[in-house]
Amino acid sequence: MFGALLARTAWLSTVRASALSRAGQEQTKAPVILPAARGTIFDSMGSPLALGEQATTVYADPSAVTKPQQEARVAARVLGLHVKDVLHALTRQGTHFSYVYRKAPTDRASTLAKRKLAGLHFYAEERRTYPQNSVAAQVLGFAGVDNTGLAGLEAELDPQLTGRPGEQTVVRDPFGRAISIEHTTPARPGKAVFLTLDHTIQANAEQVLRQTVAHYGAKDGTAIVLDPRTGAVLAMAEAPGYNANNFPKAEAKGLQRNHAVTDVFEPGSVFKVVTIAGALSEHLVTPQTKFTLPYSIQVADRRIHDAEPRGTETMTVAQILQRSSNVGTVTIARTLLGETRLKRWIKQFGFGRKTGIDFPGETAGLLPSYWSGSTIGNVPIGQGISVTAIQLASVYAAIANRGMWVQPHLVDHVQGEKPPSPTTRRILSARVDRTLLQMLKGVVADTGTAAGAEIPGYTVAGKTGTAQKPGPHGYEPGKYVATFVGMVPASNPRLVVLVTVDEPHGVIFGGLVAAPAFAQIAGFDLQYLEVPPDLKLR
Amino acid sequence: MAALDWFPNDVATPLPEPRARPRPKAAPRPRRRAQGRRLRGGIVWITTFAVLLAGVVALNVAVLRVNMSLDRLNKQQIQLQAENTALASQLSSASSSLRIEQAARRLGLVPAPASDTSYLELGH
Repeated sequence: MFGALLARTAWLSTVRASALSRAGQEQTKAPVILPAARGTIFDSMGSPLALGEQATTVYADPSAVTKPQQEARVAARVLGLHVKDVLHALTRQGTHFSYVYRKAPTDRASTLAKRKLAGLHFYAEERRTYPQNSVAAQVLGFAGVDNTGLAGLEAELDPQLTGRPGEQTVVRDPFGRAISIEHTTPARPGKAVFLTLDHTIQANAEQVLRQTVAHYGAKDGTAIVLDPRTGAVLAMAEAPGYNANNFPKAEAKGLQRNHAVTDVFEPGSVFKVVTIAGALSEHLVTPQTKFTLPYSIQVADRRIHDAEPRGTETMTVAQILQRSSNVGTVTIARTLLGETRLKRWIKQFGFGRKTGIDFPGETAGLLPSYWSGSTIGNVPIGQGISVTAIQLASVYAAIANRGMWVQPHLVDHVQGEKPPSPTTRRILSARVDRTLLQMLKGVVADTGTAAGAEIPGYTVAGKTGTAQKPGPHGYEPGKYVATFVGMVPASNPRLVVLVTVDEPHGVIFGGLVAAPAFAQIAGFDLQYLEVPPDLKLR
Repeated sequence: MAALDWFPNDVATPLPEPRARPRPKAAPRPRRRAQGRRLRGGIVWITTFAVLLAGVVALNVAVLRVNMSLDRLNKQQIQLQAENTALASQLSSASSSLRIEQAARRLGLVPAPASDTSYLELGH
């Protein structure tokens, strides 16, 4: 008997040792993946705009489900799902894994777990949440169900936001209690990203834009608030907006686009600063240079005319800009500046190339590939050329910043990394810039085109634009883009605000549609940022 | 015969009682001594071994408890992190300027016009 036991012991401890040890380890040891949290996206004030919340995924092993009908009813009630959907998951054939509810709310999943339904299992996952819902939705973009950035900054910053999962080997007793942790590779969470956006400025811009779009029955609208000294984008708003937590629905409706960066439009009169700045820089004109201008002129096969019918008038360059005269601007471009120099100044201002803003899918804009005889009649007034809203805002920011262009950017810094230094380049001399800024102040005066942009207590400089929208068969009748770009306080600009409203109805002019929206946005921001007025109030 | 000299006839003096001769002690056997030492040594060793074994067991139990506690604390940490994130999310939602503005409007408040804000010049 003793000999038999001894022999059995020897057999088990030698020949069968390795297999039994392996089996034992398999039963007690389990590798556990330690999920790496995705980095949080903060605004400039430290408010989280996107963060990962814990969720619980509920899945089923259909082969282990004993009472599918009954379990489906219970699970559907607890999780708030349709019984049919749960039943489908519980009765799937040929698989041991079937999702019941991916990233379910943890409290509901815990309630369900307590019911101990056969075949139902749970594991923790992270669900991306956008706590401020619609605020900066188009800028933030979206991280998908697998926590991968799919759009917007979530996609652009995916490498920084994504962490590295860790692993742990845990030895458990038969009751599932951990008795030893054999090996641990800690998870490395994703880095936090700090944006230049301020959620208060952003939310206000979105609200004003929403009201403007609704008031004019417009297709959509865009607003950008820039700090001209640093190139920091304080707000980049789109209307209509959407709740960032419902991205798939917004995508289906085509609302997810950040038009400010990815879409182009013909700028119209806001582009006239390029022509005037070029002529001033080339010493071809001064603000006081006078031109005798008829209501309309012929340029090759095109007839150019001003917006309002008038007789032949003498206007200074400052008045041409103030009254946004098409005839005056084209006259300066055609008779003084010329095609070559105009092209050079368009390039100097950065049109036709990307600003390099840290947002995916930026468009460079479109410049005329071929200059016909009439091109000099439309490009100087912002027709036949397409720009992005961010290009235009950054150009006006350069004018506000003493002629120094600063690359616009949305990311202030990434956790643990050195803040990127934006590219800068001089596009105008300080002297010309001062002159231009002074001329742009006139636009907001009573005799200018944007009296609606006035903000009590502050000097405002800016330019209106009302551009017809091109279609496949020329300009589409009745379809316009109304724009206003302004700088406040004009004496020492702290903010550049651009507003574009696409296809407004009833009133179409930038000075009437976009300029009041500019005044609302800039007025709020100046108060919020505690920028003291530069005018004495009457 | 010389042998008779031992008992002379004319002398009847009693002989002193012969003293009990001390019985020779049995010399301790070397084998038994060694056995005793071994027994005592064995007891000491067994006791020491038992104490060590008990110590090892106690240590293992302590390690086990620490591991279980560690596992519990890990779970607690994850739970607290989750709660922390959820609270940060709630805080962000609650501090949304849109929400605050709507709440303020419900209370009858209106935004102060920018022109109503006064700034004091403190000089240089």
